[in-house]
Amino acid sequence: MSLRKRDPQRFETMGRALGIPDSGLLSQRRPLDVSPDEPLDKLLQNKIFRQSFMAFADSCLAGESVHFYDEVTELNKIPVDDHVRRVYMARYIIDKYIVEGAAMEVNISHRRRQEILATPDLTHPDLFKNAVHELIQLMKTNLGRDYWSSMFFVKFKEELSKQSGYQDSMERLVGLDYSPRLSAVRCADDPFHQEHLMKSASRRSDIHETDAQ
Amino acid sequence: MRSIAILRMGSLCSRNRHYHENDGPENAQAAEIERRIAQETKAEKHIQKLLLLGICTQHTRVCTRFLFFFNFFFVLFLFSLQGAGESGKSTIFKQIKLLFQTGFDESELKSYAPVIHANVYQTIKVCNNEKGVLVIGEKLSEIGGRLDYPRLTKELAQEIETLWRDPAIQETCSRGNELQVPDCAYYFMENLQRLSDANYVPTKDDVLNARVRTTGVVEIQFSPVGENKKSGEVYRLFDVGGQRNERRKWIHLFEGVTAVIFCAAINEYDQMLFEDENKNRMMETKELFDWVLKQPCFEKTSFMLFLNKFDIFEKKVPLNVCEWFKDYQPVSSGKQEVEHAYEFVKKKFEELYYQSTGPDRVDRVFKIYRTTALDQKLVKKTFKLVDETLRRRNLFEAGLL
Repeated sequence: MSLRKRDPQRFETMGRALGIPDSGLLSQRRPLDVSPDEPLDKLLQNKIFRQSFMAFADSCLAGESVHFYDEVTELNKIPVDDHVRRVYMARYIIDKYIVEGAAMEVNISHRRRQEILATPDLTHPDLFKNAVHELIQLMKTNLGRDYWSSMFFVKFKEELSKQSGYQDSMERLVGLDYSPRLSAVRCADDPFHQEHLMKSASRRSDIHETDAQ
Repeated sequence: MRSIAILRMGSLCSRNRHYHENDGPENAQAAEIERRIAQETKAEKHIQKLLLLGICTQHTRVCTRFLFFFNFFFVLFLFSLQGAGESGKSTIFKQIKLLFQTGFDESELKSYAPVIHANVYQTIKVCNNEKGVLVIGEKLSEIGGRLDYPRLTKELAQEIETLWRDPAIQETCSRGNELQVPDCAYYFMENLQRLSDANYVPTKDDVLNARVRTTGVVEIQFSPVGENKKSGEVYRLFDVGGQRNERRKWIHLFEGVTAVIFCAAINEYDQMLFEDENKNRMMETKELFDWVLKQPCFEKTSFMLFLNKFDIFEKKVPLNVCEWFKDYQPVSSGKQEVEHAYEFVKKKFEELYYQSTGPDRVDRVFKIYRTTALDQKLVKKTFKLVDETLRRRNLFEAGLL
C-alpha cells in the first residue's frame, strides 16, 4: 500500500477538468464553407476556425469575447441533467468573464450582466444566450472585417487544406492586402509604409551598422 | 542608400585624423571636414532625441538615416485616445482617417451599411423594451432577437418610420438619458428613406454617425501634411474601447506616449453607463480622468482634453442634475447661457486637472479643446492646434527652442 500522496492533476482548461469531450473538426460531416459571406456565428461553431479567430482577437487585445464564446460552447456540451457539472462550469465562467473586475471581463451591457448574476438557475441552458448574442455583434463589427486580411486567416487556410484537402472554398478570398488592426495602415503621405521596403531597408541598415563599428 | 555612405565616410575620417605640420591647405581642409562632421553629428543627436519621444523601433532608425539625407527632422509621435464609453474617441479616429489618410473607399463605405441598419434596429429595440411587444409588432420584434439583422428594405423602413412617429415611442425615446439610446438614433431615423434604398452606399456623415462599440485596440499611422513641408512627422494613433472591462487593456499602450487625447462627452451629465446603469457617466469620466492623470508613465505626457459632443450639449442645459455640477447657477438664457454652462464645465475639468497633478508634473502640457467630433472642419482645426502644440513642445525638449 502506498502512503505517497497522489500529485494533483493539472488540466489546461476547465472543460478538460470536467471531462467534456473535445469535438474538433473531425466530427464535421460536411466541409465548412469558410468565407467572409458566411455568418460569423456559424463559422465559430468550427473549432479550428474558432481557435484561429481567437488568436487574431487576442492579438488585437479583444480576445476575451472569443474565449467566452468557446467556454460557453463547452458548457453547452454538458448534458442538461448533469446539474453538478453544469453549475460548476457556469460558476467558473461567471467568475472569469462576467463579474466586474474579472480577469477576462467581457464587454456586455448592464442588463445582460445583471440577468446572469441574478439568475435563480445556474443550470439553465440559455443562461448565457443573450450575452453571447451581444458579443457576437461586437465581434462582427470590430473584428469581422480585419480577420479576413490577416495572417491568422492565411495560416488557417493552410491548416485546413492540410486537414481535409478541399481547395474550392478557398478560392473565394479577400485580397492579400495585409492590414491587421494593430499595425501600420497605408497612408498617402507617408513614404514609409511599404512593408517590403521597410524589411529590406532594415536588413541593409543592419549590415551597414556592423560595418561602421 | 547614399545617406548611410555619408555617415560612414564621416566616421572614417574622424578616426583617421592626421595633422602634418607642413600641410597648410590640407590642414584647413581637414579642419573644415571635421567641423562639418561635428555639425552633422550634433544634428543627428537631435533627431535621435526627438525619436525617443515615440517608440524607437528598427523601422524608425532606418527612416532617420534615410530622411537625414534630405535634411528632415524625423519625429514619431505616439498618441492615445482615451475616455469613457461613447465619449467620441472612435469618431475622432474616423475623422483622422478621413483627413490625413486616403479616406474611406467605396467598399469600406458599403461595409458600414449593415452597421447602420443595425443601429436602426437597435434603437427601436431599446425604445420598445419599455413598452412591450404590442406596440412593435411581431416582425420587428423577431428581428430584434436575431443575430443577423436583415437588410433594411423599403417595407421595413416604412414600418419603422410609422413606429418612430408613434407618440408613445417618441415619449420613450425622449427619455433617452434613462435608456441606452445611441446618439445617432435621431439622425438615422430622419434618413430612413435613403438608408433603405436598394443601392444604398453610406455617406461620410453616415459613417461618422454609425455607432460601433469598440473592443480591443485599433491603430493607424499617418502623416499630417503641414504648410512647412520640410518637417516630416509620423503619428501613431491608438483608439481603444471605453467600457470598464476595456480599460485593463490600456496599460499595454502606456509606454512612450507623446500625448493622450482624453475625450469627455459633456452632454452626458444626465446619463448612466452602458455597463453599469447605476453610475452617472459624468461622474465616471471625472474619476477616470483623475486616474489617467495620476498614472506614473504619464509624468511628462501631454494631455489634450477634448470636451466633446458640444452639439448635443447645446440643446439641453440644466447641469445641476449631476453631482459634480450641483453648484451651477444659470445666469441668462439661450446661446449666452450655453456659453456660460460650457465655461463652467471647462473650469471644473481644469480644477480637476490641477488637483490631480502633483508638483513634479507641473510643466506637462495641458490643453482643453471644445469639439464636436462629427464636424470635420472643427476636428481638422483642432488637430492642427494639437499638432502645433506638440511640435513646439518637442523642439523645446530637444533644446532647440
